[in-house]
Amino acid sequence: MNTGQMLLSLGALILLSTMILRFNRAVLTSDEVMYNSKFNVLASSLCTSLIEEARGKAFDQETDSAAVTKTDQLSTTMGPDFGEKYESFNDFDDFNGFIKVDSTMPSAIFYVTSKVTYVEANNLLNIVTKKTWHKMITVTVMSSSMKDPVQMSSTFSYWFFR
Amino acid sequence: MGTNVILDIMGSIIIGGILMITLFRISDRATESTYNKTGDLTIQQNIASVVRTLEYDFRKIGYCADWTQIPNPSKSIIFAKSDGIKFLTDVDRDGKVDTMYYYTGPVSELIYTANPRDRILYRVVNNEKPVKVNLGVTQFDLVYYNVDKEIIPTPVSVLGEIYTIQISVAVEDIEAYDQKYSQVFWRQIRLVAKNLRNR
Repeated sequence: MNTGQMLLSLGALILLSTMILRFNRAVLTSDEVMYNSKFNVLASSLCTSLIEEARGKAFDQETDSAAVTKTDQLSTTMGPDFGEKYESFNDFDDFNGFIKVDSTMPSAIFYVTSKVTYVEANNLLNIVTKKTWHKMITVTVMSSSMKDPVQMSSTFSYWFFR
Repeated sequence: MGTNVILDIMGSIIIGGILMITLFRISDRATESTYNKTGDLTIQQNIASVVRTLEYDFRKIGYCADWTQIPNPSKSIIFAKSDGIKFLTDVDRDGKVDTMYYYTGPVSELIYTANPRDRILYRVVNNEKPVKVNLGVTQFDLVYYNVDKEIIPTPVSVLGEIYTIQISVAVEDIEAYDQKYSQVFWRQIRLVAKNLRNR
């Protein structure tokens, strides 16, 4: 084998190696996308579960056992009351500032956080500081295995039976 | 033929053989990857279909367009097991109470699929013929909680105690390359009868 043939063989091997590396990269990238979408499915289910749980509570601390007729009667602070823990949450805004680590899922550990704010009736995306009859919960689920966090929001309005 | 030529030919055969094996492995990996990715996509679409139906039906536990038909939604669950549930609802929103029954069949029902774990998920409305959902469901588990977030043993004897239901669904490929079945898992906690309490 002369020098020219050696160079051609080396060139061919380099080309083949590059092709193999590119192929492996493509496979790994599509694997990553697949896993990410699987984690997103789980993250979405965690978001909806927490929203569902919060919606099962009273609208406000003050409406847990009695009805109110004016927004002034609603509690002034968002979040759990002093000494109130997750197990004893009784109203929607107790989930403001809530953090939970979910390690029960079969594939990854998820971090669930939520925020509750008042929103305007005529624009439910508009967060306001004054008290209204509408509260919005925003749940964010993150994981070190995921590329981007999943975020979902839901608005809960006050109602009662007459 | 000189020794050098013979060595060249032998060297070429060895290198050529290595290259051939490498190419075969690439081809095999490409086939596996394509098969798995297509399977993954299919099971994700399948779980989305199953979940969409479950969410729609479970959201309406205890609902009736004519509320006087189910005045007490806490009595809307007829029976509750770990792999099945029957409840009152109003499927077509006509003000008439319907019963809905979800359960899974045994794995022996699907012996014609390669996956040994998949089973049929049944959805029965009133006394109609069961609708079979064969989308590679391998797990359909229901866990019931009371208002204190304690698990209620199944089958649930005091149905009015059920406050939330945890639904876990796993879907796998029906067929897989080299029996490496992909799985998608979904779990949700749903309230039973949202309008149960005066809040």
